[in-house]
This record gives sequence, structure tokens and C-alpha cells, in this order.
Amino acid sequence: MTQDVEMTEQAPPSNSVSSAGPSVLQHLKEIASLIETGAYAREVRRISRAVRLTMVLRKKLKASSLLAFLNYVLVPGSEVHSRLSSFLPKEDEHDMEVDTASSGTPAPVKHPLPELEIYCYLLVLIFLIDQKKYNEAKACSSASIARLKTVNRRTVDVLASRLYFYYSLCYELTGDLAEIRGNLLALHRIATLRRDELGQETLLNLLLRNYLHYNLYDQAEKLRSKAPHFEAHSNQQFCRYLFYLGKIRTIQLEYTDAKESLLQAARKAPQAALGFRVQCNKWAIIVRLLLGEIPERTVFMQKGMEKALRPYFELTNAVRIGDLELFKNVAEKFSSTFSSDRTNNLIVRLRHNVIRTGLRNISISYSRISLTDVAKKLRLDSPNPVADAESIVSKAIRDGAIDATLDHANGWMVSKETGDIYSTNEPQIAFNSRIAFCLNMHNEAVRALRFPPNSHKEKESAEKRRERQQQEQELAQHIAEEDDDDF
Amino acid sequence: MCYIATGLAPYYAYLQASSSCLPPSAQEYPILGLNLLRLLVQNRIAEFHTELELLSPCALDNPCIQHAVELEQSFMEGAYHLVLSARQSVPDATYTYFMDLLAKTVRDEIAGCSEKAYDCLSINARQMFSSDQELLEYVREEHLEWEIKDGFVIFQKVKDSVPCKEIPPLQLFTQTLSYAREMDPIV
Repeated sequence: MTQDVEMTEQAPPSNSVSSAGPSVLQHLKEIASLIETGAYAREVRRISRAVRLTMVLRKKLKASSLLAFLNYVLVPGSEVHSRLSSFLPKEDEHDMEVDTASSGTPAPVKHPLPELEIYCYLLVLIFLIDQKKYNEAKACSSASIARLKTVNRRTVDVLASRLYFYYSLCYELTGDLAEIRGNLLALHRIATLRRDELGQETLLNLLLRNYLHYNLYDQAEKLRSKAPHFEAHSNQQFCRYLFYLGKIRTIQLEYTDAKESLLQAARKAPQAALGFRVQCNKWAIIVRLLLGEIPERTVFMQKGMEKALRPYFELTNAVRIGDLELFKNVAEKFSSTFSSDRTNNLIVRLRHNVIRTGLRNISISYSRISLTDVAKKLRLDSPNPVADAESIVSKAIRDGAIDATLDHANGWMVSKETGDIYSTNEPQIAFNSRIAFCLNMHNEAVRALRFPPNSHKEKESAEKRRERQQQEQELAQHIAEEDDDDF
Repeated sequence: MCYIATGLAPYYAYLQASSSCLPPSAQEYPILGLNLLRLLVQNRIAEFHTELELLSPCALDNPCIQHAVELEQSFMEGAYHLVLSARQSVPDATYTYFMDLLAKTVRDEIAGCSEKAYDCLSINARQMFSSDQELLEYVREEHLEWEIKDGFVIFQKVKDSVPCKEIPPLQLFTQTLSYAREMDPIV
């Protein structure tokens, strides 16, 4: 029995490769049967596969085939059916008839499964968003959310989390994210009560995105720190979470932690999600600069990112040289980029690091230098440069940026001899942190390994392997597409 | 001004979003600026920046807000003279109160910095105090470890002395053992 199901399930991917295969409607029907078996067998895995297959079809969806599919799955004349079909445009009557004719008599399913119903909502919603009919999409998504609240089945969770995502997306596209905040909070509460972890994860991210969209960092952090935590279910959601977390921490000046989350988000994000990775890199670069580190050149030379990271490259250059004038010019030159990235305020904070770097360069090059020269080299434009230089230097000394002492009477700064670093425990500590990183990575990799059930019983045949690889590929592609519309 | 403390922030955020209910107050920016200043005085820099993110670009151009932003910048840089001289250019009379408080914060900062940066400093060099008497009082109250001799304040080297050349045995043991433990399942 199960073997049979397995076989039918393998059919769609092999067909979809040969593009001249059956029509979109045929694919949709196959997906529907996949969802059905998933719902009866309570296998969440199948449903997530159905969602993945849908994403492949996404570009080919047409109103006519959608309508035919609705006729097939839902009972014509029922409330859901009439509501959903009202969202679809009724232009090409001719096409539609052909398709309905080919679909033959409506299926005998009289009471559609809630999973299928929700799936129809999802399909129509995706179609509306792709057609840029945002107002209809909003109405459709709100209706679907209202329906979702009444369904409590674990097999719906996967579909629900996708719906949440598109619900938020279409409100974001029309610019009324604030409207649905209350609703999202309510949904998050419901998901928590139902122990729907995927839903919680998705909703938490959507809420964070919602808050950050309006720069409400304080509220975002309060929600984040109080929401229940568990191991991530979906890699994409985890990446997003890390990115939002990194942003919040950057604003709150916890640069070390912020850097960690941002770099991790950039690393974990799938290769194809270029937009997301660029964003992560931009923020990571600024955070590293704020920490006093200079990102390596390779960061800016990553494939496909050179252009987007160009302003940040010049910025880094200015900070590296420690030239206030150059820094000011760069900040002005790219101010439009920075304000659209909403990093302007962070760049204002960087000024202080430019001074620090300049000072560090001076302290390394001179063993003793007068404060007047320090002020001149830093190009401090203030009414009282020497006094300012003196207090700036003293603060840098206190913060450990440079190792020197000041002599007020003579008005100079004396740099201390830099001791031999190998006589300290510093290398040992650095070595330790690297070993810890590697071991941690290994442990995480082991933990992330997933074994399909029964895999130990039967050896993987060539056929199976091909199927699995195909599924993995689909997954990667799907992740890529989704992240693309994220930015 | 203290709405942060009372947890009314969501309410105010809502008000801002639906600006139709209430016309913006003429006092909005001065009060926001005061709030920023308050956070600065209390050295709550993280919250200062969180608040700053909430402001629109045009709000940032307002003199009241700009004043606070510039203060924070000079404060972070260590250009304390600029901070102190900003007292003369306050955009609103109410700001002076906080500027006085800020002067105290700055004084503590300078004291902390000098302690680390100088070996010794002549008493006359300290501009933060109007008289030597005041300085002596301050030292007695806040920094008992400072020594005053022949018109100089001598900072006891609170700084870390010669770096320890010894290998910390216990730490190394635990580290090596933990590597062994982690490596065991891998091999």
C-alpha cells in the first residue's frame, strides 16, 4: 500500500523536468492528491513537499487553470468556492472551458479536506500576488487567516505558515504593515497554544519584520526576548531570525553579538538568496567597522555583490585610513544609498571609529608626538583642537584602543612599547576560540543531519538517489525564490 | 517624557502612525530632545540609539534633536570640551537642567579617563573645577586611591601591572580535557 503511494508520488517531479509534460492543471491535481495522502497519513513531510512543488509551478499559474482546479477540488457553489473564484479574473472564457472540459467530471470529493481548502487559498493568494493585484490579495489573505483560526490540525501547519508569510507580504507591498500587527500577535498566541512551532517561528519573524519596518527596535527586542525559544525547524526562518536579531543588537550597541548573528545569517542563507545575503553583508560590514575591525577585501568581492557593496567598500577604506575628510565625503556621496538601506544612523556612529583608527595609526608610528600634531593629523575642526585631542586621546587610552600615556605639562602623547604578544596568553586564547569554533561547527553539522525513516533498512537505489537529489534541488530553488521576494 | 518607563510606548507609536487623531504638538521635538538628553545623562546609550531610530529624517534636522545627537557624538568621541561648551547653545531653556547633570557625568568620565591616561597631573590643569578646594573635595569623595602631592594628583597605577608570564595550569588542563572529550566521538 505504502509502496503504491510512493510510486505515484514520484511521478510529478520526473514529469515536470520534461517541460512538455501534462498541463498545469494536471500538476495541480497531483499535488492535491499528495496533500490528501499526507493529510490521511498525517505526514507533514508530504505536505511540505506539495508546497515545494507548487513553487515550481508558480510562474505557470493562470486564472483559467486555477479556476478549473477550484472546480475540481472544492464543491462548486459552496461558500469557499464562490469566494475564491470571485478573486480570479474572468477574462479568457474560452481557455477556461477547454480546461474544464479536459478535467472531465468534477472529482467525487464531496467534503474537501481542510488541508485542500487551505491549499486553495494559498494557491489563489500566490497567484494574486504574482499578478500584482494587491487589494484582492489582501482580501483573500484576510479571509484565509480567518479560516485558519478555526482549523487545528498539525498537517495544516506547513500550509498555514506559508499563508502567514504571504499575508504579511501583501500588506507590506501595499505599505500597511502596521494594520495587521495585532492580528499577527493574536496568531502567534494561537500558534503557541497549539504548539505549532513552525507557525510560531514564522510569525515571530513576521512580527519582528513588522516592528523593524517601523524602526520599533525596543518593542521588537521585548517580544523577541519573551517569545518561547526552541530549535529552528526551517533554515530560512532561522536565517531571517538571525538577521533581525543582528539588526536589533546593532542598534542597541551589542556589536559583538550582532556580528555573530549577522555573519551566521549570511553564512546559513542559501547561495541563491542573493538579496538577503547582500543585506546581511552590509550590516555585518558596518558592525565590524564599529567594532574596530576592518573587513577583508574578499568580503566585498563576493560574486554578484561587488556593485551593491561598493559604497560600503569606500566607507571601509575611509575608516581604514582614518581620514575624517574622506569619510565625510564618502558618507555624503552615498547618502541616498545609506538612507535607503537605513544605515545612516549607524554611519554617523562610525565617525568616532574613524578617529580611533587614525589615532591608532599615529600611536603606532610615533613613539612621542605633541598633541598639536595629533589634532592636525586627525583634522579635528573645533575651536580648541589641542584640548579636544587631549581628551579624545585620554578616552581612547581608557577604552583600550591605544596603549599610551599623556603628559599634560609638555603636551605630548607617549606611546608605550608594544610588548611581545607571544609572551602573553593571547595566542593561547585565540587558538582556543578557534578550536571551540571548529568543534561547535562539527557538533552542529552532526545534529543537523537528517535521516529519512527506514533508510537503514533498504539501500538507496540509483532511482531513489536521483529522486532525493531532485527533491534537494527543488528545495534549494524554492528557498532561493522565496528569499528573492523578501527584498 | 517618561513614557518609556510607563510602558506606553506602543500607544505613542500608534498615535504616530495614525496622525489624523491629533495634530502634532509644537512641543513634540523639544520634548523628544529632552528625552534623548535624559538618556544621555544617565549613560543609557543603547536606549538613546533605539529612540533615535524612531525619528524621521526631518525630525533629525530639528535643532532640538540635532543638539542631543551632536552631544552624544562628542561624548562618545571624548571631545568633552565640546559637550561642556554646548551649554551655551541650548535650543530651549529647559535644556540647561540636563546640561548641568551632563556636566557631572562628563566630570566622572574625565576622571575615569585621566586615571588611565596620565601618570600624574598638576592640580591647576583641571578645568572641571572652579577651585582647588572643590577638586580636593571631589577626590576625597570619589577617588580615595588618588594621591595628592606638591600640587600634583598622582594616579596610582590601577592599570594592570606587568603581564603575567606564567602559564595558567588549571585553565589549560580543563581546556585540553574538553578537547579530548570532544575529539573522542569524532575519532
